[in-house]
Amino acid sequence: MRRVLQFLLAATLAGSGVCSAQIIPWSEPPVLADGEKFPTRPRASRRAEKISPEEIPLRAPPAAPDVSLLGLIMGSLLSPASLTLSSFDSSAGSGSVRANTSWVGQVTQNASSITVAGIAGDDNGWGATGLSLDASSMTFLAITAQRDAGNLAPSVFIQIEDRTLRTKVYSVSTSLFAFGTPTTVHVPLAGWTIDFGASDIFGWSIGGGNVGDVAFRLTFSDVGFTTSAIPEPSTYAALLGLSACLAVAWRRRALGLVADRRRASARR
Amino acid sequence: MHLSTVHRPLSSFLRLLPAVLGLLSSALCVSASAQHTSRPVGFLVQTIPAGQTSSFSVPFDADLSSLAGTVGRLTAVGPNYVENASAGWTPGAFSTSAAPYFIRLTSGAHTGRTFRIVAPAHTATRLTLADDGLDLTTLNLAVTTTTTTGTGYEIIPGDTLASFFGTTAGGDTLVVQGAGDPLGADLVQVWGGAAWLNFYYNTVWARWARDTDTITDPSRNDFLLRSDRGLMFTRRGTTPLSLAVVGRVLATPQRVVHARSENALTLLATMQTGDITLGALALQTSDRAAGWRSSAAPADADQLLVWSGATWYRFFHNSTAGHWQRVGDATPNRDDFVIAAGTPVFVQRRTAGTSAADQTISFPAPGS
Repeated sequence: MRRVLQFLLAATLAGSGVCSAQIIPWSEPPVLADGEKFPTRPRASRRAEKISPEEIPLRAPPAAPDVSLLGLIMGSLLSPASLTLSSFDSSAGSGSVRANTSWVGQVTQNASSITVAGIAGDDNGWGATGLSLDASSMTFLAITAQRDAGNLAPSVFIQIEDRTLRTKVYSVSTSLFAFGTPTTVHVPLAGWTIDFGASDIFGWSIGGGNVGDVAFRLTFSDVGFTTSAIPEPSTYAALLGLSACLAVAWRRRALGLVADRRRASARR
Repeated sequence: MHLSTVHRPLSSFLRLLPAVLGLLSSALCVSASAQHTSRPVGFLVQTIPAGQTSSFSVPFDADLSSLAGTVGRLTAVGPNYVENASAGWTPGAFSTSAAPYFIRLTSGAHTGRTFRIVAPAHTATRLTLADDGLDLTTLNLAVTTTTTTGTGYEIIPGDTLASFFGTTAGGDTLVVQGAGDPLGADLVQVWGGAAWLNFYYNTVWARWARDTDTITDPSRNDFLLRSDRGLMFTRRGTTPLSLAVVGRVLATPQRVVHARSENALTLLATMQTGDITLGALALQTSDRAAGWRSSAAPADADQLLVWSGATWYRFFHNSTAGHWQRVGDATPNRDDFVIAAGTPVFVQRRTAGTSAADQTISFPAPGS
């Protein structure tokens, strides 16, 4: 999806003419004769030419950058579609402790999170079933959690189940969750496979994915799917470049129009 | 199966000679036309004590299907399909949920690797396969051309909860204890990759169900039991349960796919028809498992878990000592630890693998 958006961005820029880049061919630097100084400015770049007022090209007033287009593109990048599995609040559908796991009696329900403590081990101890969710267009699994003191479990596991109980499992290192601060980690789904019903998610569970032998101490705030992770540095760079291009184009156009008007008035 | 010696008078032997020769010649003809040898059949009885939980797997293949074209060679391979131009399969016959089938490769570098045949329904020449997230073309499987011999395969029936443990339907036999709720019934646990999926036979609904299911949830009769995976069985009945399984012994080493995300666990059937030691299983060797991580520190080493009857024994290969060792065990060398026939093992890899070879483990051929 991100690749598609980047393609759209490039196509939009090329089609609108907002910013056009030219490739300047590389040439060998000139060899200077003895005593010759290298010119500090290009020799023919500032030569003024007299033209008649009729020759002044008609230009439209410099338009402000198309912020609506930019906003649309940035909005699609920064506000991806999402599908919540659980917000870990006390509402129905946020899941519950799974029976016969080490989490029974070890989970504290907070206002908008759950804290796993006590003698909870690293098995999948929280989850929900009986759902009907279409995650076929989703590309990332997003988990928001924080590590708490005493955690020894090395990984967090999410098990997703379709209606026929075929499963997909994703794991992420607990070290990616900061101590005491909720951190959102995005796990790429790497595409749904033919043998899984991503359009009919029936259940899920979260935990250490183990058979339960070390302490699991985390606080979960949110888990769900999304169509895009937070923009990567390359995406930010593209957006920055786009903004710079728009600003430069707008500025040059404005300066060009002022110069044209000055030349025209000088000729008069 | 066993052989016994029988002494008969010579005259009796001469009278039987034509029949014996006839049988031999017909057997040779069948063998030549099918171009493969029949495999020995074995059986295994596993007993689950009352009130206890056992690990369980079936180290045999089911009988060859009576459907046509179950043995052959590949003529084409696509991202998620294989073809045999002369197979003549009955379209859709191998890809129903009630009667699942697998295809096992029997020659080439990926011998022993098994794929499930899935929807969309196959044609007379093409099978769509669950490819474990891999592009099958990356396996570089040989296909039959005028100059090359294609990768051999065999199609083997799979099992479901209903086909393996039975139901209460007319003409069928339920071999486990069912009940109206999961607390009173024998429990079958299948590892979903990070958590157990718990099943029982609901006698009120007259079908297999998950422990969290309600009456409106779908039947779990057709839930697939992969032959290369193990399961856990909790006996809630007041008497021990002995499960006898009959099947064909594997002729090739079993090459199974396992999870290679960080610290992921997979419950694998080793397909061993006899007991085998950790040293003989030798997962630390490159021809069994790619990139097996041995270490003197258990937290850094790949691990193998075996159910002891009440807890999981964790083993790792100590690279410094050069042998298998139990985590937290004062007696270090566990190369001679015996894994009983039919016992599945959890395999936990510490790091992710990327290639097709990284994701498989090759167990020894039974009897090798």
